[in-house]
Amino acid sequence: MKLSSLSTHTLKQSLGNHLGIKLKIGGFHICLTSSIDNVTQHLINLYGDFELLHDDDFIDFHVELNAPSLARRLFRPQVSFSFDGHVPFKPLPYDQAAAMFEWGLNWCIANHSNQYLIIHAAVVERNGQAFIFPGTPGSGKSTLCAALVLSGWRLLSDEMTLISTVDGMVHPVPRPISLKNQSIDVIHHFSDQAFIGQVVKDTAKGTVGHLRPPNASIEQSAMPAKPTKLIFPKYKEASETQLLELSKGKSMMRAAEDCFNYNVLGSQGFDVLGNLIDQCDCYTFEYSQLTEAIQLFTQLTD
Amino acid sequence: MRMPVAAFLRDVFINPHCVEDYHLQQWDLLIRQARSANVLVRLAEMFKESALFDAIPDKPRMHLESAWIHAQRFKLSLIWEIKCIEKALLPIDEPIIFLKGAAYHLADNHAGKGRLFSDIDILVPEKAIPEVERALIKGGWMTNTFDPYDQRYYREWMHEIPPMRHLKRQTTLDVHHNILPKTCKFCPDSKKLLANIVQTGENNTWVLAPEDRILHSATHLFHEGELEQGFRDLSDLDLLLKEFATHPDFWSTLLLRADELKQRIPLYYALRYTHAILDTPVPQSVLDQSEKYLTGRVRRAFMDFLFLRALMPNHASCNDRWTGFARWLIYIRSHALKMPIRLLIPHLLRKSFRRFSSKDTH
Amino acid sequence: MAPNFFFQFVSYDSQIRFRYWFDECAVYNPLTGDTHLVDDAFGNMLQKFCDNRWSQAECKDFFAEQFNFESPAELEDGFKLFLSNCRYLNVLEFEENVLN
Repeated sequence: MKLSSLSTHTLKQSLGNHLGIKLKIGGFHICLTSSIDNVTQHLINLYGDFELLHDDDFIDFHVELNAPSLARRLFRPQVSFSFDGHVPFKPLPYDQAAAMFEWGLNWCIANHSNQYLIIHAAVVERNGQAFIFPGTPGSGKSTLCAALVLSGWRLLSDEMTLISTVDGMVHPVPRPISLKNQSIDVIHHFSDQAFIGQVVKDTAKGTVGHLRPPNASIEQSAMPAKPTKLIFPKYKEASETQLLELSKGKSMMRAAEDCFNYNVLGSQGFDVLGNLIDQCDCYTFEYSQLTEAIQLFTQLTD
Repeated sequence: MRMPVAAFLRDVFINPHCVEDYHLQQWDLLIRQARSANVLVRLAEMFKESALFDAIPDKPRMHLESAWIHAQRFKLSLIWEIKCIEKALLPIDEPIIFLKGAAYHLADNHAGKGRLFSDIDILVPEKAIPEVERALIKGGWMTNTFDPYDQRYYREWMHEIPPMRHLKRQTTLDVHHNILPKTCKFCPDSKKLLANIVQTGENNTWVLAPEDRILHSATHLFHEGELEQGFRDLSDLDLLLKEFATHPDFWSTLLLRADELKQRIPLYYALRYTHAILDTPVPQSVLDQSEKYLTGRVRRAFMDFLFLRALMPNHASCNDRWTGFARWLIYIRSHALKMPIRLLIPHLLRKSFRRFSSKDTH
Repeated sequence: MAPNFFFQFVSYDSQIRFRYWFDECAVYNPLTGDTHLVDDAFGNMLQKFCDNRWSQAECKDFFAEQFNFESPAELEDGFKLFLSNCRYLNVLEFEENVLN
């Protein structure tokens, strides 16, 4: 059963009581409780196509988003993210609740899933080839990812690329794509199919909105993909579209920097990342024209 | 003893095989309790030792595996950190005694398995402190606090100098000259501790005697104010007791040593609550003997009320209506134990004042 | 005469890992958790030295075979540089004066 089959009333009620809403997100099972309207709306907007879990399923992450205390609620409303009673971050302003859910979930996955090497990277797939785009904020990886997905590529992940330590395959965890500042307008203009949820201003990352992931990507989320290209993108105003080969050694060092848990995996991390570098062509990529970029990558997979 | 609250985690620590017919919801709660108690890795080790690990359903096994992988890396960084400390303290002639987690690792104790911690603690003779501090500064460590109150608090009243942090690796090292603050009336004579230390490896690296390791673990746990890790620490004691109990005369030596080091009351608690909560096989005669250490039946019953709650995993599912109150009382008690009241009130006031002033800055 | 050092290349259970791509070599030291990118010649030498305990003389002989040094002084400088790089990367330990 999909989340969209619940009425708003039922959804709100389930979220508000201690049982919560149990969602399947890629390979992860999440239980969310929250009595914040923004969060309910976020789920309705962006998580409609996700499957609900059964009551007797194992839950990976029990998370809660609520106001930290009554005084705070009255005086300066805030929202706090809790992972089964553990509060890893400081509270945020109340209207950032939905964004905090996404960031909190990133944190849960990044810190508790060492069966994967986790790269801070967007990853998309076409014709059986997964392209990995590692990147720091501002590199334009999410914009690129959103545009590729809106052009028919399969979304595997916008924020964290999960490489299985067993078989080196990319395991999908498709979720809403986080867009920041100007990229929200850029993506709106790029495609009229783009559905972006609530846009929140003045977060730590500026203005943030989330793009709804395509249903097809969610339905195929049990299917791993083979990584073939590792591309370090950089958006640069008025630049030519430029794809340059990057040496394997340098790619290895850069990708290691971009991992969440390379250090935790130790020798295994070195091996898994090394194998990934072996099997991928590695590039740096500079761009300013989104359509040119999409064209180029699509040609590479034809 | 009747337990006020139940926990899957406790059942599994007593007998790992009870998971064999667990359904997924039970696994769900077990993993949550273990994570909250910071014993996921220890649980993984237990399942591996009992050949149960591979039969665990995929989902819960992933969480155990993930934590276990983290622990493997932790162990290597611990080895490296100990090596770096040894190197920095090479010029020191006095013995360097590693305590707690690092000691369990060095002595290869069962309690070292699956134990993750952030700080390394060492003990050195008090007269060597200035020399050790200089050597550490030379090796790249720096004191964490320049606040004159903190400096004075540590130097005058505590059994350690202010924590030191390595500038490059960002690791924390606590340098002690005793196991309890000077202001505590049960503070042992550190010469007696030093008299029985055991060397590990080739370097000038030592650990406390087995009995002293237990007493230190006990006194640390039962003087502690915040028992978030209480269940883990209790499990350390359980593992140490079980490991050392195979030596002949162990129990009589332990009781005698508790006397010598003024640690009779912590030993009473350690034996009573490991036995009650983790079913640790302590001989009845030893339990009876140690019960005499804490006088007054009402007092003992009250301590049961507190510790049988506060030592359970720190997870909502292991609390009853009194757990919060019990944890709060233990917090207050821990400060009263460490300092005479004339020092305590100003200290707590200062701490709470700071808490308020730091809140205001947000 | 210089003291006869023994070199112990730090390798926890000899588990230092190497990976080569053309003239690049990535080195992973599991003890420190550091990854280094070095050139293949440096990598080869390190890999060789990590297998065993070497005396200073043996190390230097092998080092000299790898490169064409014009003079003993140049060899001396090159070798010193190599050692200081190893020490900087925490892959080398000295067991000083073992034979003295």
